[in-house]
Amino acid sequence: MKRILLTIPVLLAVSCQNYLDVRPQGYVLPTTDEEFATIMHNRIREIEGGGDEYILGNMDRLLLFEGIADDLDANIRTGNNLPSYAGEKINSMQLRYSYFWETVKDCNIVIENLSGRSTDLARQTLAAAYAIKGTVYYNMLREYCEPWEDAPNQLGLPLVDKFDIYGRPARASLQDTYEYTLNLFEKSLALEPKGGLMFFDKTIVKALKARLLFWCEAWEEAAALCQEIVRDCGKTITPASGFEDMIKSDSPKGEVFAKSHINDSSELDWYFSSIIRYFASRPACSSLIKLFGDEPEKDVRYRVSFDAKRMNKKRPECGIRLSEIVLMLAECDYHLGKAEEALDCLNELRRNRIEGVSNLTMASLPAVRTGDRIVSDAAGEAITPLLQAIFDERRKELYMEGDRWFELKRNGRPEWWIISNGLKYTTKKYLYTAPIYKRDVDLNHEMIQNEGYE
Amino acid sequence: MKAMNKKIIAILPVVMLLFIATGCKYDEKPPKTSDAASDYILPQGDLPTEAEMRAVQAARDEYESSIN
Repeated sequence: MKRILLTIPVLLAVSCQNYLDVRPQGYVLPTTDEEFATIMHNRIREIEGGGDEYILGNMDRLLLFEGIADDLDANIRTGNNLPSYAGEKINSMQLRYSYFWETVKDCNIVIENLSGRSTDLARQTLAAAYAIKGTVYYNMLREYCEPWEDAPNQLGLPLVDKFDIYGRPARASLQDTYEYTLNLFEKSLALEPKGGLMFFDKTIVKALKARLLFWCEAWEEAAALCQEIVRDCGKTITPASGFEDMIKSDSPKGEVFAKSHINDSSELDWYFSSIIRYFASRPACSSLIKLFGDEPEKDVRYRVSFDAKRMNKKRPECGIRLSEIVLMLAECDYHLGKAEEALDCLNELRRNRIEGVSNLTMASLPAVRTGDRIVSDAAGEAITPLLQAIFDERRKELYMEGDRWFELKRNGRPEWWIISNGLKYTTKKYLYTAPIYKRDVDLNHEMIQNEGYE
Repeated sequence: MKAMNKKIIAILPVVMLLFIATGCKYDEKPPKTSDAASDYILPQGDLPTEAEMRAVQAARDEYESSIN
């Protein structure tokens, strides 16, 4: 009897003792350099396989940003499975915000644990973590913050250094977010990234840093960095004869520093081969086509981009290449008052794209058109003939590379409308800045939502 | 004594069942803090004006003539 009476409390005492143990079962908590490197390899594998939407991007990301921009004309035809305008994507955009943080969390785990380790693998993994985190912050800064105006008083992003389930970080200022992101790229560069299995080499990280400087209108620093890249990258602008080959190539070719989806045996190949047709379901708008002039076939970009029905035939790609650096340099020079240098950059690019083209001079630049969507520059000033020429080349060059939406955002956030199913939908100014995740706002009362979504 | 043990053994499963049925019934979910939906209401479209309809038709006409 006594034994039985003793057994009951013992049984009760030993049962259920692990119910509060939330440690995942069957997972390895990383400790070695190799294990931390695996965390970054998983992210890099997604870039190379085409699954990544948050670092370099993929075809899904392009489908979104080319759909809501205006290079393809939704007023002529809405197209299959392309979003019509930004307003219809606000809920997928706020959800997208939450997914960015999964990558930040991975980077923070690596940064927190590998900082101070001296092996080559640890340093290269750390360099990749800083580069990936910097790129993710740059992407979020473009999508979820207003364009650069009065940065110390504009909303930026939460600056998160370590994973904390109880943390409720509020948004920093845009200025602080820029400096934080810049610092991430600088830390990556200080570790001498070599690329290879870690993907991000010195040139790629510099190019990503240049994009940040350019977006945040640090013209002088951006110009200096772009010049450094042009001088040291060991590449030249791909000539017209090699342009098509470069665009169609699975791996980085010619002037391309980096691109996503280079693994041509990715499990997503079937998916991309299917959705690529969506891009060709809406024709290019006339304002883009007119930029190619009276003899558009002389421009290799026209030949590679459009079929006889103005439908897209350029392979949509996310990456970074020398021409973008040259175009950034041209615009930086313009804002720094170096018109001749800006023109030199532009002519260098045009000579490699258009058969028999003659150099533009300040005297021969076409007058500013009326009726264009962009009417003011990033500084709020009126467009000049030189800046218009830079914008035109950028639009032709980076067509189908996810750039146009951000060009519109950077230069005045113009409003325009489309008619779909008998109703008019306007891309209003506030829609250029996507909403942050609503559940974060509901949970954290210090988290301020972007204007227009309260 | 044996009869007593038999009784206890017979009661034991019932006691255990009672423990299982009544124990560990705590609510693991955090308290509900808001009735708010997790989605935003999408902006609504407006009826286009005649002039806007004409502008769209002009864009379509321009397109048709450019490809034919």
